[in-house]
Amino acid sequence: MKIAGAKRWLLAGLAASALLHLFTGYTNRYYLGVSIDVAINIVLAVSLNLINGHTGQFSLGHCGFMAIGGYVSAMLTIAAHKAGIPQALTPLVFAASLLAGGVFAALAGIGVGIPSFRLRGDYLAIVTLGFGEIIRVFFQTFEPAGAASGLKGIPNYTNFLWAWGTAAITIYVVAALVNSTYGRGFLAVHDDEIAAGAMGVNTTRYKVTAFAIGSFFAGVAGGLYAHHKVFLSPTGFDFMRSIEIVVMVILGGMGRTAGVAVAAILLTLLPELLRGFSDYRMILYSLLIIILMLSRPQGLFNFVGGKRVKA
Amino acid sequence: MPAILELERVTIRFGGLTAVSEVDLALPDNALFGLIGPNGAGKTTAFNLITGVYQPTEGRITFQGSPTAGLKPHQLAAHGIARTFQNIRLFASLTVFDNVRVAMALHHPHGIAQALWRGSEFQRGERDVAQRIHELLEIFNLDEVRDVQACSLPYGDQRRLEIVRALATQPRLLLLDEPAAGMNPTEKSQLADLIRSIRTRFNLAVLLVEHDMQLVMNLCERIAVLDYGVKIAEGSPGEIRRNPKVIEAYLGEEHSPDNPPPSHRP
Amino acid sequence: MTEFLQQLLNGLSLGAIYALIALGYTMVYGVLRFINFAHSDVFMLGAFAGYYLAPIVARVFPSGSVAGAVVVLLSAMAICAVIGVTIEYLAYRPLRRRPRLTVLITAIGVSLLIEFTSQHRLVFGPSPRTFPQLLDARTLDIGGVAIGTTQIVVFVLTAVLLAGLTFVVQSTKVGTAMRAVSFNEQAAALMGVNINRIISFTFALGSALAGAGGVLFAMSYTKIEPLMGVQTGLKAFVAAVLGGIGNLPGAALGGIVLGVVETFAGGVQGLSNYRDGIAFAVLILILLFRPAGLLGRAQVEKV
Repeated sequence: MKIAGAKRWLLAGLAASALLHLFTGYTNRYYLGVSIDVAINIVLAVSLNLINGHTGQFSLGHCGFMAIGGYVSAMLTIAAHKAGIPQALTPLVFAASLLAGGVFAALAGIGVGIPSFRLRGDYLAIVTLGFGEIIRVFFQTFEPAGAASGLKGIPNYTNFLWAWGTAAITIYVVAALVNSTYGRGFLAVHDDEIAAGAMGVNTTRYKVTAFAIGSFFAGVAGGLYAHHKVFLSPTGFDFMRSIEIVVMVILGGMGRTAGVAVAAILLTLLPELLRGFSDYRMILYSLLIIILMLSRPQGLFNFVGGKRVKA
Repeated sequence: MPAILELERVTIRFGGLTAVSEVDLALPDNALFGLIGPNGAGKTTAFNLITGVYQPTEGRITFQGSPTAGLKPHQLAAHGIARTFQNIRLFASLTVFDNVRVAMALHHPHGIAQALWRGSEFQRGERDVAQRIHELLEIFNLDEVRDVQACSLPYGDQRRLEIVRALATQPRLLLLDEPAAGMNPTEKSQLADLIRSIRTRFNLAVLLVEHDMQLVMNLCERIAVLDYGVKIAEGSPGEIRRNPKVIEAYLGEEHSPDNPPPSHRP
Repeated sequence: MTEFLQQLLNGLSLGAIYALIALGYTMVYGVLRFINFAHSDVFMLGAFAGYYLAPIVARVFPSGSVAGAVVVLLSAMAICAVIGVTIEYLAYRPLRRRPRLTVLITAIGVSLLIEFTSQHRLVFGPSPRTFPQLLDARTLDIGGVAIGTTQIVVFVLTAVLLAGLTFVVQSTKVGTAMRAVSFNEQAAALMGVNINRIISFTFALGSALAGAGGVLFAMSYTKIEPLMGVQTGLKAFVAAVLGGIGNLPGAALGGIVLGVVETFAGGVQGLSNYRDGIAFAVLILILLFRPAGLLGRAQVEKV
């Protein structure tokens, strides 16, 4: 069978991740760590872009889904570790735990997506924000996961290949989905829900689907994050984390998958590059966001004049 | 000819306001039917009732013999009711091609799995969709601008694109909400020809809300008149022209149906 | 029963502060239709303004006097008003005709900038400070219910500020103009309303109230730090949405409801750990049944 154009890109992405992975033994651990951070943020931003950018459902709770995925997957691998799973099986265990984290997050996403057919705009934003906060408070008090003191002893499974492989898959899934006759329905919901309904688009189902798929990948990203940092703390999933992801999506040009991925890379590297000015780096970071919005409000990589971005 | 759409004593109230009151209407299959009335008479509300945007407070609507109560707009679209909007509602950020493509999904479903796997069946389906969009756009002389963003099209093209998009859902009944609004006389007469040819070519019924009396009188075989939500007359264009109630309804605004006030031509 | 009244009282005084902040969110939303994220930081700056002003004022007025407290409060309000107007002028005004999301992200940027700048050691520094005692702390005992002087001040001041705000918005020329801008900006502009001036005024008013909220919060809870606005501001925003965003009485009501619910939930065994989550759970529940908030009117989109 002929491999379709899009699928070729996915295979290329996976192959590149595998190839580069072979050289990670020679790189500085700091750079390796940062590169994994970048990949995780790509997964988060691209998946949020499906909800916020493509489907136009403004969500401020993305890291709530990330938290669910992170905790679920970490608790599973810790349990497997304790049960004494043989070394050879760890990739399987890890993959299964990531999937489980993703599925739990997706279920939560469906739960959040369902009220979204009644709520619009800012009200939906605030409900998703509230959901994220509730998740955080839940884990803060959830004793089996260490409550406020955090979940320790997570095995360090996430490596370059896992992180970038997932990033490649996420980009592929979102791009392939949207670039199909079915997927244009997401964009139609974004542009005009009433017209979309009149054209036979089941707007509620599209919104819930966007939430389900978007939060699935956020959950997987959470799993990668947990096994990268080997420690989870509820405070790491506060509302600022969600905002960071939203900023990536908006800077990337809302609904432009490639732009959003590049924005995720830049915004992850930026604070690292500013590390030399440690005292001032977060001040500079926030200043840059303001300056970017004032000078390129349509997103960094949107050259059509911002027509895709709608209030 | 059997009725494709029937309204029986359809009423809708918003709070204290009765926007449409006990309206009966039977639309013959394949008809060119006009719905007229002064501003605020409830014409667009009637459209919204037929397309499921609103549910009637009382009365029932039947489409092709089955009641539409409780059905959502997207379900009614699947049953074969398509519409355009008074204030154009295209998918502004999508291209002309993609605007039609969204409507195509209704009869070319492929779902998520196929979109991800992108197998040969999927590709054949997508080629098929592209071909059909191409044919539709050709008919309406929009194929040249297929890759232009809908919001940057000229006004007349936007109106026509809305019709193309509605046709892509393969409707049995096409509702046009003031399709001639903002058009000059030449464009209007072209539009009348277009609507006639659509009816024959796509074998469907057209229900038309329009303020331009000349267009309605020339185009429609039958006309119903709403005033303050009540149907005050129905008949052939000649009958409507002579109907004293209709003249009075329009004279209330100091204009006859043949000479609508300027405000009716936005 | 006394226990119940005591909790109610504590809830009301927390709710009053939420209400003061929520009003600023709701007013800005009313005229500009976006969430001013930096508002919570103006609240924090109000508290710090009070912190630095108190010793200066104490040189003129005897410490612990009501006059001194009022001077501190009014000056903090004035400072916050200036800060609010400046933020709008520098960061939001250039984006007036841009999509709301752009302004929203800018607002988040401004919020982060204020928070990180304040945390810097050359500014306020990250560690919490103790707010000076502006009033002599005394506790009245009314039938077993303890009321602190600070609580009384919170109630009285909130009532006065709300009455003042209602007067300004309902009965003055500038208030009428505000409502006109909120209802239809273009029509208001055509009627000769100076939109820019009204927006500045709205920011001044909202920020002054947040400043008052900051000082009152600091007086009630005594610890202040640069990130104190994050959670409180978020809750106040929830209160604004709860009441129906853009609706002034709604914001006040939402604040009070939230304060009371949160305090009572905090007092229940087993629920107290979830205190911070409860505000949001209440919000989600209410929005599911009243999608436009308690006092908001559902907007039907015209087809």
